[in-house]
Amino acid sequence: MSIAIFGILLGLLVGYYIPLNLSGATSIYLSVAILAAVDSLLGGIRANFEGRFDSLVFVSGFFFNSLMAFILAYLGDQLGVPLYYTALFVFGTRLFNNLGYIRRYLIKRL
Amino acid sequence: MNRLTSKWVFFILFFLLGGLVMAQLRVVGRVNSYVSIKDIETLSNQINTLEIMNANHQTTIQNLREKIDAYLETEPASGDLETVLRREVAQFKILSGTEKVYGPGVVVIVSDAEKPIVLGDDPNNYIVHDLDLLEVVHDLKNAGAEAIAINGQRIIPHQTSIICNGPTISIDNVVYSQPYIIEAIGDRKFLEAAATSPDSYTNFLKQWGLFTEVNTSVYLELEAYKSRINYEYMIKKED
Repeated sequence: MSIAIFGILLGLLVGYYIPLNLSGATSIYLSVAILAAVDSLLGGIRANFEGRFDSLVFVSGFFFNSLMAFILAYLGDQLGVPLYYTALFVFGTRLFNNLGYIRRYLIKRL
Repeated sequence: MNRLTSKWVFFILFFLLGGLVMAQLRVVGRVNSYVSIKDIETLSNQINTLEIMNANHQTTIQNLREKIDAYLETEPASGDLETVLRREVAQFKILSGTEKVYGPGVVVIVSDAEKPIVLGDDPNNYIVHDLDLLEVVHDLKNAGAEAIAINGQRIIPHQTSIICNGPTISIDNVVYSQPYIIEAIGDRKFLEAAATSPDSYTNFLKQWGLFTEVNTSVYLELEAYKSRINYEYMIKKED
């Protein structure tokens, strides 16, 4: 838990001070990538609780999902169809599923 | 998988998440406001002007440094600081206009209109006023005139007064009548352009109907400023 908070704070700090200027057009990609990252992290936490955590699956899921979401958003941009909705939908649904599992696990452990 | 590795993996991925979130916040938080081309042009002009001013200041700094070096070199080598100072005094005398000078330049002649007054027209429209002379002088100054005289009376930047006295004009309390012959030493081409270009005040006077004439000269002699230069109020500020 503490490592998560520490990591996210450090990430915010680095993100704030990094001299990288992204244009407004990238905001949609970033938002999808953030959702994919959150989804993977929650999946990882859930797997951790269930005792079947595999760091390779976890890390590959994190990057592959982010990349796939990114590609979908880009493709959607090129085709004029908001394909990133699919990513939003899938990731959003799974995010809440995983959250539900984690919640149940925590309640069970009480 | 041991716990230590999984902790680090979580740490790194959370770190990445934080970075992504902050990147997104920075993108979303930025306000893109509308800027017109005119504004961009104005701003870029301002930047250019400032850059030129900056370059000028740099040159000034460089010159002052060289001067300091000259002082430092002169003093121990020959003990001849006096020569340097004397040279400087001579320079300042030229700069302040209290020295007779010569050089190339232009002669601008401005005189009252020669056409007959139309009935009902204001006679003021036909004669040269103090303002006209001031504007012509100002044009020449802007074009880089180093020394200016009207009818042989030297104009210096800080003391000269040009006042209208009806049909005559008094310059530093000496009354002159037309024609007004304005001599200016400087780059002949620049000065001529400043007195003949469509934007110049001299040209405006010509359009208005007054008599004007612009000639360049390779040799002009301007008398020194003869009135007293005195300061009553300003005092040197010691740093």
